[in-house]
Amino acid sequence: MRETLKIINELKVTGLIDDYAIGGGIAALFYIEPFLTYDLDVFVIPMKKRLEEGVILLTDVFAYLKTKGYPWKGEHIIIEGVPVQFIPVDEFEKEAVENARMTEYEGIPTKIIQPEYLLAILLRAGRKKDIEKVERLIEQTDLDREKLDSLLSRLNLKEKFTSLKEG
Amino acid sequence: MREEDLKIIIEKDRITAKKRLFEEKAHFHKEQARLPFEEKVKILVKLQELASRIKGEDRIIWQI
Repeated sequence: MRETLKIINELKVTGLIDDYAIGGGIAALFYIEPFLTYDLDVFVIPMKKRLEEGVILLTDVFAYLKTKGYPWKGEHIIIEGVPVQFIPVDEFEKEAVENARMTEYEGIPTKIIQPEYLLAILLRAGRKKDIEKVERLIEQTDLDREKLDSLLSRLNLKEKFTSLKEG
Repeated sequence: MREEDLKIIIEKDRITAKKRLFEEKAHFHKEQARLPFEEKVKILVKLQELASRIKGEDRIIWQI
């Protein structure tokens, strides 16, 4: 994991991506009790290189990782023994990356999406496993309720959130 | 009497209640959530190893 993060940081330093933050299960793991998961979701803000509307170019990123010998397995690229999935951000996720929490893992700097943004992204995705994480975030973290309320309103998720709490 | 107020006798001088058990459980989960990130990742890898042994799935166990 330490070496994985070093390589991901290199992508930013070398200008292959604009910025990144850890999201998904590992971001949830940062805030809640340990649970089983297998991949590291990395939300990336790509460099502004678009072929056309609706096409995001990550070829330089993967070419760089390929030169380092990292193999693919399914939809993941295995970086230093950790399956990583790079997820290009939409507008909301871009804001989540820009406002992500700076932290360190074994001395390596990294960024983790804040719990309020994470909860909103998980709730929007809405799969069973996402909702389980949302429930644990509610139970086990001290969420900024005002911030969460504002984010959920923007995504029209307040009703979904309320029904989840009542259910 | 409400279900959660039911007393549970564990041994002669040790009596608890269902409500207290639930509170302790919630407290335990919150404590686990406060573990350092590095510690959680170590636990994650142990979970991956256990799941691999039990389920025998071809999943990658992280190198940390």
